[in-house]
Amino acid sequence: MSSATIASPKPAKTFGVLAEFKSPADVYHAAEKVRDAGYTKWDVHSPFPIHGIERAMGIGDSKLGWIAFFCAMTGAFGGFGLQLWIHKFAYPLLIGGKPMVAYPAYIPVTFEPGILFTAFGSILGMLALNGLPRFYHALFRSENFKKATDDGFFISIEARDPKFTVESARELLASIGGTHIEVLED
Amino acid sequence: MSPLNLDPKNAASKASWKSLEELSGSPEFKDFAEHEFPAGADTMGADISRRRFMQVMGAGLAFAGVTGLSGCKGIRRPEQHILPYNNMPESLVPGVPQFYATTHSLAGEAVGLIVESHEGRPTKVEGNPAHPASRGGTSKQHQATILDLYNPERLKTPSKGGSDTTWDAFWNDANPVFAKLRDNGGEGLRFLSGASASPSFRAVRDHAMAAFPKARWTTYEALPRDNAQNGLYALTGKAAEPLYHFEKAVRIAAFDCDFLESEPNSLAHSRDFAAGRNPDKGAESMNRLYVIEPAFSVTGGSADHRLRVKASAVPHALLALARELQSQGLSIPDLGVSLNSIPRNAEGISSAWMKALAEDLLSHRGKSVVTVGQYQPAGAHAVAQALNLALGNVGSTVEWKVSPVHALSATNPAGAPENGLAALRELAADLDAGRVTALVVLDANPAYASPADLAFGAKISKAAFSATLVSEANETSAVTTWQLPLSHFLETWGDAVALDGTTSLAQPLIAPLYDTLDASEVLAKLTGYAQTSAHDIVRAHWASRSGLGFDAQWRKWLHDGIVTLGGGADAAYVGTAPVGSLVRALPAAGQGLELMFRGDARLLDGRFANNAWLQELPDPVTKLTWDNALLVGPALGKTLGISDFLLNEEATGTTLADYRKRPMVRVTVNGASLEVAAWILPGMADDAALLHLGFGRVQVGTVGDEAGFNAFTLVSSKSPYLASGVKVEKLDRLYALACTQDHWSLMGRPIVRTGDLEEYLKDPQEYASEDKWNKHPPEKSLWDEKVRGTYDFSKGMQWGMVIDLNSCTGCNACMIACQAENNIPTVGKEQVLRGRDMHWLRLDRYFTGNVEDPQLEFQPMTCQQCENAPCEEVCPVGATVHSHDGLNDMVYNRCIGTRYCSNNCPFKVRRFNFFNYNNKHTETEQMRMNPDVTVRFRGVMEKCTYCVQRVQKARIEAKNAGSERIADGAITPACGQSCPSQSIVFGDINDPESRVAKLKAHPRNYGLLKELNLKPRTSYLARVRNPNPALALQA
Amino acid sequence: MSTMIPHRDDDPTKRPVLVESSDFHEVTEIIAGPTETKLNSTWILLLGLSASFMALMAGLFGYLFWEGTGVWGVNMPVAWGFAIVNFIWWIGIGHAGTLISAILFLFRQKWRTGINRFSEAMTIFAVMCAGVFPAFHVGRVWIVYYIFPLPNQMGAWPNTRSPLFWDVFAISTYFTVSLLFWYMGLIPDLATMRDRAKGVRKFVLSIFSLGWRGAARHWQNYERAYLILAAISTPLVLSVHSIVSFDFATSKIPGWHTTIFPPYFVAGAVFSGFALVSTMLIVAREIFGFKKVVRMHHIENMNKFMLLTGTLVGYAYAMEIFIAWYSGNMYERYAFWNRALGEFWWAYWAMITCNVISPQFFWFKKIRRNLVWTFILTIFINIGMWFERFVIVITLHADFIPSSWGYYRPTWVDWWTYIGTFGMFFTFFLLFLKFLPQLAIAEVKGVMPEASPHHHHDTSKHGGH
Repeated sequence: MSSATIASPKPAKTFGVLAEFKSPADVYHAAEKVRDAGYTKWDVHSPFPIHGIERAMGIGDSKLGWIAFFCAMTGAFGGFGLQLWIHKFAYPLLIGGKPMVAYPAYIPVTFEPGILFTAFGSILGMLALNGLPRFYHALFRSENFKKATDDGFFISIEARDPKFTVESARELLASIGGTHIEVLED
Repeated sequence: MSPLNLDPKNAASKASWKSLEELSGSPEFKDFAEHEFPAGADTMGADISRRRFMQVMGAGLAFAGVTGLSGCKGIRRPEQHILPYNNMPESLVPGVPQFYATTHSLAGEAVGLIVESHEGRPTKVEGNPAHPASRGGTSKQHQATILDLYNPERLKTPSKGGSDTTWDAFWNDANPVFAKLRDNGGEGLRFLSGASASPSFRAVRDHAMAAFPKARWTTYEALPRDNAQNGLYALTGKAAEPLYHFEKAVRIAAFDCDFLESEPNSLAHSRDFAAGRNPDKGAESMNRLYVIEPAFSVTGGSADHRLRVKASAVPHALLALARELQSQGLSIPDLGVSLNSIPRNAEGISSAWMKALAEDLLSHRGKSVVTVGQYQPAGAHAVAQALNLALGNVGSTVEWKVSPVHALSATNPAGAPENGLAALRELAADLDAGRVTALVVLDANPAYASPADLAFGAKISKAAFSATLVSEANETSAVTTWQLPLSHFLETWGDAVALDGTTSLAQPLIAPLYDTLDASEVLAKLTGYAQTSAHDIVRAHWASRSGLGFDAQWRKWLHDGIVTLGGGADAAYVGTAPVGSLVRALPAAGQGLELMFRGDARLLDGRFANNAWLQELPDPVTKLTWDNALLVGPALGKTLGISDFLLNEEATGTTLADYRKRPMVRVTVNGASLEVAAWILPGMADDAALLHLGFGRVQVGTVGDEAGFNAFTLVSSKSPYLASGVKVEKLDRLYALACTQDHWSLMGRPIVRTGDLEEYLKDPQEYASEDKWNKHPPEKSLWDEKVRGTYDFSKGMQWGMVIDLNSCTGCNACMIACQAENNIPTVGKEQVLRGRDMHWLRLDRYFTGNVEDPQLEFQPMTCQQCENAPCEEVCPVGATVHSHDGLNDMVYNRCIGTRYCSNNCPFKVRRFNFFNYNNKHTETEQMRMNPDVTVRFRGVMEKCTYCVQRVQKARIEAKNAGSERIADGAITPACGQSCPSQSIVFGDINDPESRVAKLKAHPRNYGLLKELNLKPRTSYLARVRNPNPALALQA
Repeated sequence: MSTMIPHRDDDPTKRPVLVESSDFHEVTEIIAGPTETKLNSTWILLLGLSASFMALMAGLFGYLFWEGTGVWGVNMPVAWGFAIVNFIWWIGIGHAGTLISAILFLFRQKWRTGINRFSEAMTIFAVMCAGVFPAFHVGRVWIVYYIFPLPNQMGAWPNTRSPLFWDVFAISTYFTVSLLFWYMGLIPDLATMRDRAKGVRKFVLSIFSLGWRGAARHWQNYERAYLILAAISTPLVLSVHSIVSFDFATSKIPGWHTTIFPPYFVAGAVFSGFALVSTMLIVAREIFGFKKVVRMHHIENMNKFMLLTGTLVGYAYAMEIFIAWYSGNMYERYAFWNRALGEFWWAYWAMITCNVISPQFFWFKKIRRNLVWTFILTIFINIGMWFERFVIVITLHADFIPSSWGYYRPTWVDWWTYIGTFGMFFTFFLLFLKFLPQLAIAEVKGVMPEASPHHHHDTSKHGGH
């Protein structure tokens, strides 16, 4: 939803500063500068992932792997456990003269739930880590920011950052080649 | 119970609900009724069809969408009331079946039965072990009679010219006629009936003939019954019939004689034959069966040696045998012909074969039998019995008994045999000449089942007054002025004498469902007999023959089903003068193609044509259902140009994409012609074709309509069962024949294991062994079956079955027994064509050896109850699981119908409800259902359960008796109980003393597909043939 | 998650997609553009046509539900017929999508970007078409849920040792994961479209794009998630058809009970999947003018895949027969003899011709790079793969006991239900073509040379690798 349609109840409060750069290369180098300037609450926006940008921004590795691993184990053990429980305890029936606990026959339904849970884990985990879905965001107030999903490359420095002042942020962004610099209300 | 809960329609019809009638006018009631009984809900009473229910439900739901709850009310079933017995029938415990002894007579042949009754509804027929003609066995027809009882198409009231009326109307119409006849001594009065062996009925008949001296009585059976009598009449001067004791016979020569199925007394024959068939008795004591026949019968299938001979040549084969015997020094009674003039090998008769046979018979005097079939002329019977006499068999393996049908006649005991056909011809002539004023047909159908050239049906209308007493409208009732409803034998009283003279009583198990009468009752009423109710007639008849304490005796007779007054007269050899004329009258062996007309194995002369069970029951040999066909051998087929379907060991009946279509041919004979489908059947005599009678009926119920081709249109009264000068031309039309077994060959697979006695005696252990038949790696399980949690089947009672292929004759009785016991639906020709027949038990038939002259193998095939059942493994919902007593159970409620179990069943014995086959039953038909067995809904898989309901019943009885163990033999599945040859044995395999355990230990015992490690609970006893070494050498 | 751009990208013939365009905006226009235009009449016509076939299918399932399984040609012994054949066939087709997405992604096959969105969509729709058959082929459709392990008042549980139970899990997992995978790929593109849209359209797109704003910190988790999905989807793809093959392989029936089935089924699935993808691709390419995006070397690569998998399938056929003979088992031997020379010989030879012979043409570069040839051959392959499943299922008609042998003839309901599923497939596919970006916009941009932070010659030491 566009920010235009939402009038925030609170008195206007600064969200941060947004600047546009013309190419992946530019925003890459700009990011390095912002990183070196010691900012922490800032981000780069691009229509596609820019290779190595996380290094340029100096941010650590994603934690998603652990979440996915945990889900995988849950699914797999859950699947196996369910079958074991059904045939050993809940509903033991003589079937085809087979043992109640026929491990080989349990493998498919151990594997598949493992996969299923991993898939949900990694997608929901991804959204959680990214704080999505989030339909309102100050950045959407900027008309120019629409290019961020087309051919625009942006850096936004947020007011939450301890080192943040509107002036310093604006200067820094200008100094590293940022254009269309805007200050955004939250 | 609130009157409001009654259906307003019914309520309105009951005066007692006056208040309701008033109420029903009021708006409240209207409003109530439309909620309680929305459109269609009133049809949801007892005869609700599942589809109707779905419709109403659908409507209800749709309605719910619009007006919420009221719609849901629409799908509520109307209340049905269960009323307790007002006065409890004696010894009846609801839910516990009762069994009564009774008797069924078919064309003068009496068989004692025990009938199971649930709350007054007869549901199942079993044989009466005490009755000599049953010995516990039943035929397919006996089993199927239950279906006839509840057939909704039965005549329900008398009707005149098709419009229903009442008995009073009939009496009002008939009495004046008979009054007039009484005055003129019965001039122009004719009775026509089938053969009957009922003493009480005969008494009524004799009384009638005495009251109307000028009247005539015609006894006519479309299938021959009097050749044997005439034959023996020539020898004994009495209308006698041979009574065989096959258990005493070690050498049997059957000349065109299907004594195991279609001949009289076949149930006893099967039992006795099986008894003499035990290979462990050794070559001398195991019987050896020689069969000389024109077309395969089940008897031919059981033969050790089978010679294909045209029907017309069979008597000459017999004479050739006589000559051979004589030349080997046997003195033969004078047959009126010089035996030396008899050609040794005419018409495919092998002299060597005859020589070997003669030697074998001679070396077993008094322990052999020569039999001839009913379709052979009297002369042949005379010769055969003369040979029995000469061989000293009479008195040991053969008895000559005065035919009960005649022994009964007070007027001429053992008089000359009636010649049914001659009598019918005479009657036809009288009708034609207008000499018949009144014709009463008692349970017969001459208008259909008689030679075409008599045109009997057309002539009936010439009688001013005519009436037919019959259970369902048929061709004859259609042309008589009156159609009278006949009681089913389970609805009335009666009695009958078996061939050996044993008399048994018939008692009703249920009051007549409709306004019907028994033949004796109608006859008694018409002719003024002392008693007019069947019960009184029978009881009075026997009371007059019994002495004091009759009541007690009567009760005992009813209980046992057997009358203990002895009876049955022997006939003795008196001289051979008349034999010569008969023998000289034997027609010469026909030249060129000859066509046989014979009763169908299931429909007989067509009297069962409206019985769906029998229509859908495969013919034992051809495996055809719902049709008959012109049967020709492969060679003849080739010359007729219909050999595309010629079978051989590999490529088989299924070579065409639309393989179920067969070519039509036009058969022209006796000046008439018939277009009929042709079917290739191996083992036919050269130049011989066979067409079964009983199909193609025109006036019959919905079942028999358009089933098969009416062979009677080709039959001539001159030679009714055999026609020469036949022309067969192929038409370029195809006709779909519903055959339940498309594949003819064993494909060299070790499924049916068979061999020669010599082999067996040499090494019994090896005879049927896996090593010999089916080399395969040792059966290894992927897990340790004892340790790894699987159930230990060596504990407790474990059910198993053994089927003896050596005594199984392939008669198919077990299939119908299974159908009756387990509420198995019939599906109709179209579904059988699609391969959806529902029989839980099928009887597999294979041809082995030479295509022209093969051997027949039969194998009853049903669920093998594998311990490691492949079907169970694959069912995703656990709808088929194993019970702790080793049964492979079906859980119908759980089944969702993936059909995977059937795919994985190596025997393909599972059956699937592709449609709702059970939703068309009327209320009457529902009464037939066995309440102990679930009626399956569509989409559900079903199969043989070893009659689990019987197992449970025995278990409960044992528990009540305070014992865990069930006595051996206490449980018999329906198939085993009906089996005339007792080939199916069931019991606890963990009890070393049980018959089944002993048989499983027998060397001939083998299980199928052992290499799959299925551990089937059903196993088979390998078949052993006992060929004559002399003939084996030549082969 | 940086993906290196291999040097071969400088070879003009091997350059990644969209070499003509060096402008990200143009890419957006080309791909997102068509979704914003008015509905054209051809499209409406096609949609109407396929929708009516879909309706026919629905109607026939209704008929089946009302009357019973008997309206199909199935019988005893052939208790499985068209339904299962079609099910496996569609599932097989559904294998290309995820395979292209996952395996090619893991192997960094950049050419996948031209086709992955497209083929993922096909996967999903194909699996939907497949899914309806097992659901409706059971005798009592209204209680088909008995097969799920749901607590119930009867205290009854499914038999988890049955391959059909495995199927349920395999198919549903496969469908769900494919759907998630597909949707996840769509999120940035939906955001792109959102930022171009107005009004209701914008509202809807906003919801489905979850407020995506292309932040680098998001991209990081996003790419990680994508990698994980790709990593698990690969074994998943292989498992699905293996498990489907267990329906046969774990049975006792000659011709079914063979260990070669899992790899053989997977190869066949990929084979048919690629065939249908390129069939559709060629059509779409002509109609929607993606010549810039879907390049000839995509088609050629796919054809190479078909040549490989087709040959594998051929090997499997040969091996089956050899083992049947080598086993010395009379039932096995007859089953295969009967396949080739029995009543259904025509199906067998149709299968051999289409699956083994036709892909061999792809040895020739001319044919590999010829659209007409490719189109015709892929059609043949799809027919052949249908016959393969037919031949396998129909093996039922003659197993152990000759007396039980039968024949199978489909009814008109069988035929029209099968045809109806095409209606379903194309209905969804047309909707997809019109309303969603047919190519992964962000991915296409991502593999453009311009997308590299080191694209233009700068001498900066920073961010060097």
